Amino acid sequence: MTVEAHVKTFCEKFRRVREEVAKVIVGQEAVVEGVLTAMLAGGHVLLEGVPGLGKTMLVRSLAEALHLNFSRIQFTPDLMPADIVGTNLVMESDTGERYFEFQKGPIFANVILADEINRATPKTQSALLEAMQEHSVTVSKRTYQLELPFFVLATQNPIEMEGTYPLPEAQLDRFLFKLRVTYPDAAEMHEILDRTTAGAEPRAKPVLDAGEILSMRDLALEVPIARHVQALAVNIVLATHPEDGGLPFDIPEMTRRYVRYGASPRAAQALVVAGKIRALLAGRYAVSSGDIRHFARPALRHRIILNFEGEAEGVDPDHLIDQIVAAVPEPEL
Amino acid sequence: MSVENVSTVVDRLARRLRVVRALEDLVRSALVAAGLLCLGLAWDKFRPLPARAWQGLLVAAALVVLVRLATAAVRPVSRLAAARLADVHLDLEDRLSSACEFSTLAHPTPFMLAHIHETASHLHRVVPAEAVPFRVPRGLPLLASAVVVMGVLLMLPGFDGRASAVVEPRPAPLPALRFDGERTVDSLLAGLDLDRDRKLADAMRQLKQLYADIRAGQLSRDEALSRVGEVEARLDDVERRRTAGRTAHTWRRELEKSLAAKGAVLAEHPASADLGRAMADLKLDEASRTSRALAERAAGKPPTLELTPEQSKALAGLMTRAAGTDRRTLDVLSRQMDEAGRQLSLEDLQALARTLGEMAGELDRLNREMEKLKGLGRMDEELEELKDVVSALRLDGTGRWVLGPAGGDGRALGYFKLQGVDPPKGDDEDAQPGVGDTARGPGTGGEPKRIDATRTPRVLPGIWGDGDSLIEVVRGAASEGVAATAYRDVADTAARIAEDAVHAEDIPLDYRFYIKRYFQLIRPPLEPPKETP
Repeated sequence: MTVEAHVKTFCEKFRRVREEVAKVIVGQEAVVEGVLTAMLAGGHVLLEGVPGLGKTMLVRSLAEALHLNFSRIQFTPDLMPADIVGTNLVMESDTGERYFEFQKGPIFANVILADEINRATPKTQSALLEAMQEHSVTVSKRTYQLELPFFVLATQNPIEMEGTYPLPEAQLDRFLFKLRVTYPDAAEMHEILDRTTAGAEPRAKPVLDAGEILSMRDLALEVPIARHVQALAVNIVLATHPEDGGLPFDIPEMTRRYVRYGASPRAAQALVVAGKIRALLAGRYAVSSGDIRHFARPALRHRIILNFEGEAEGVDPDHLIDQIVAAVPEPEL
Repeated sequence: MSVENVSTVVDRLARRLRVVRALEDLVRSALVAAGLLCLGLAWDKFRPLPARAWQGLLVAAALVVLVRLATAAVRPVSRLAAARLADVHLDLEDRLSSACEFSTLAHPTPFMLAHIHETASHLHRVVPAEAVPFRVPRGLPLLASAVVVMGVLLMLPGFDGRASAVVEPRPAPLPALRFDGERTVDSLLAGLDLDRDRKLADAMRQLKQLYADIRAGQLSRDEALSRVGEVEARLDDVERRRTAGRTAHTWRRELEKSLAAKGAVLAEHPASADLGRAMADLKLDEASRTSRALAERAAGKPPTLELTPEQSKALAGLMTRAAGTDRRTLDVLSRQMDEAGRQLSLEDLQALARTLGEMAGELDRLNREMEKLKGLGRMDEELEELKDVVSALRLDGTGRWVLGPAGGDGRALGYFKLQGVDPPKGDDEDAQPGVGDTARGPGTGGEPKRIDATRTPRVLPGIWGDGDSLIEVVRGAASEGVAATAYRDVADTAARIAEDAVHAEDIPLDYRFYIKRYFQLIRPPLEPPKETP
């Protein structure tokens, strides 16, 4: 099979999943594209939006379309790490002998919906750390490998901050994208009402299995990227740092003024890998500068830590990222 | 095949890019050359340049252009840069530049080959004129301006005649001034031993010449101050060398103190009481006379200095004790007193008479030295006064010299006030100041009468006690409770420190949010609140 045929198959499978999700989810094309891209890139997604915008429905539909195991964990302040990863229980055999047996928690699934993740304590939130990065869980000195693909979709509500525990920077960095779920417009509202208030609600059909997802992921990672395009990703990430580390261009004034810590190298990885998937979906065989710029907002907005002044002024990270991307020049050739 | 196609197109683009850059370089170098020529033309307007200079300038301008062009021809052009330009201008989404990079790899992956192949299908869109368009060089408007300036300069007449007519105004000379210092210098010069004090005498003559030039009204303020500085430096040098690093004033005080100490010891014995009191009162001429009188009494036949053995012994002890007082300052006199004490103890009156005569000579020498030191001290004061007067003189609006700031108190300074003749003192009550130049013109009085008045120093006792004092009480914030700095001025700094502390301290995450929120809420508003009417 030629590369061209592989790419064609890749696009076709992606289109099918998107169509299945679109049967249930009205609009939100950018969010759906971001979620699917993150899944194919092997990353995780943090969805931010007010209640009622279909975040949970989106994840559920995705799991149905992908023919994968799906777990939903509702994060609450009294949720404990063992409730997520599982625990050893004392069991009794037929002969009356007692022994410990590990009971897997809900994290042992392919698609995890961590609903309202910022309502759990940091201790519980950190139970996800190892799973998200290493795709494994350690309980009582024993490590259990998670089944691939492993994909965490976390949601959080940006307005109800009372009694919440903001995610630590280390955990935020493990999310490939942070996507914002916005309100649907009037036409989309009509479509939602038409679908959900008349008869049976539509359901997505499974069109992709785990093996196909992993092969698509492998194919995406093969997409080459030219050095000067990669340099653009590096420059964008470096430009988020308020300290001028000998960059060949001036970092934006907003960065100096409002940013405390810039994005980590994981941000550059996210830009490049997501750019590869976007290039494939566009029928191209190499990453372009446009692909890198396209994912700057979702890949960077949760990785830029604003300083005191930035938070007090209510600086929108998206606005900041737009300025950074505009300020970063094309690499010198 | 696709690789060759891509390479061919990129090479074509690179050639075109070289031409575009060469054009930019040409304009830039022409701008530098035009700048050089403009400078030459401008210079030529004020001071005509010789033909050789013009030749050099033209050659330099031509060389700038030629070297730049040669550099542009030789400098390699990046193929990647040319491909990238085409990507940007033709919206190729980095196809050509990526293909250009992948085609140079030894082992391209299947994806890279697919990309090159896919790029080849877009090559029909790559038109060199659109991919690397000719742009108007950025320096072209400046170059046009420079050419216009050159044309204007060529048409303008030269300014060399006018330029040479400009004469720098000479600073106005000071009015004719006469000071006491001239007389002080004269008297000091008269008392100097020219063999021993040759350098001091040279400095005195230099000072005398300065006074003469100031009196003639030939010096400007700067010249006068400069020469005063030279004389001061020279006098300092001479004085310090003579008195082992001490100033004349210090040296004089040491001599006076030492003489008074020795005199106080000698005054304890009736035979040497007159000598001791004269030394203690610093009347050295009288001390010298007394010493000589003692010598004559000791040398008389028979000696009229009648001393019992006990008195001789007591006087010898006093002499030795006086010799030991501050021996280092008055070494010669101390040695002589030692000698006199020893001779008294041996009752050798003839030898004692010789020693007392030598002491009289030494006291004469010390008297001259003291007079010289007094004169030097006075001369220093007069030089300071001269500097003050020269610095304070100003021309008022009517062209008259006045003291103080321009247009100040309006005191006219002329010959009379600045002549500074000695005020009538002592026996010379009828002495009158001379009449010299005034600010309105030369006077007719000629040289003033010379007065050799002496000064009678008086010691005024000071009063100990609490005098008037200026007391200022500074109230701090603690007592008044009012901030010295506006909150708005320190809020940013405080917020920054708080933010650092919040990040550095081990604070639970949920608490951290409230702490940050607290500091956000106490931030001052950006604009001050408007006052309600």
